[in-house]
Amino acid sequence: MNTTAIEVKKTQPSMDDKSDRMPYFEAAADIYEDPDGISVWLDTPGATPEGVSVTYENGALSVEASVIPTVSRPQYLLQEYELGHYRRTFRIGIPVDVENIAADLNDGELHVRLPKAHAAKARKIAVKS
Amino acid sequence: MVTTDFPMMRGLDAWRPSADFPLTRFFDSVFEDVRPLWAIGAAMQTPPVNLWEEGDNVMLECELPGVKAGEVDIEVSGDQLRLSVSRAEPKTDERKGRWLRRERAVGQFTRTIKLPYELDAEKVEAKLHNGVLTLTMPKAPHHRPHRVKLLK
Repeated sequence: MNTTAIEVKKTQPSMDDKSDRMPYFEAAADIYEDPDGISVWLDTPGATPEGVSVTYENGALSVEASVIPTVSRPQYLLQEYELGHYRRTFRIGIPVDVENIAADLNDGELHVRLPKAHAAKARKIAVKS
Repeated sequence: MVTTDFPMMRGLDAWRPSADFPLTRFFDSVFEDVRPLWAIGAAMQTPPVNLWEEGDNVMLECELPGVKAGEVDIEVSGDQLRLSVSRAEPKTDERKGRWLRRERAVGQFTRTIKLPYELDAEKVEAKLHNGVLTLTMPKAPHHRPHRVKLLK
């Protein structure tokens, strides 16, 4: 009989990790395009800089931000929102100057700046008479 | 130009048990803008809060991304909590460019919350960290259990 061994992953999520079973939410975004580039703002309340990853690959900007809860599942008197991590991907339809993409996180607000590649910038063409 | 998100990346699964039902997927892709309540953009008036008890304290958390300490005003009287927040617009040069998406709410809102206990107003503490407001509100002395010492 021909059997192929499949490696079994033996790591178990630690019970202390309160953030393990939290859902992922789509972060609300504002996007602004100006002649030099695109600015993206995302609401990621509770996210810390260490937990944020921003990747740009094949014309897609992906953002992931993880949240560490301050308390372990309290007995809520009132719960209007659920804690969760954030994840979102945008397809960017213009050439981007990949080397100069910059991101910063301020008070739970993530800002990503994607400068346009030279080829994508509008140029004024003088008409010769 | 920014085109649509990947449909797979919709992040609301946790709230909709029917998310895996094919028709739900279909409707999601048709109505592109299905979002959690707090993210309906300008329509949102009051960010949601979570409230719980921790010993002699009532705790409140409220997500206020991008809000600075000076933009939050908190008032406590008796068992009422009044929360006023103003959130500024993102900084752009409006003349040069254009908005491709506006999902986040800006502007002002005020909310009054009735708490299950009267508070020790002087001792209420507020902290704004990473866009999350946390209030630690000690209950008024007459709501705290009185510990009786045993005579030896």
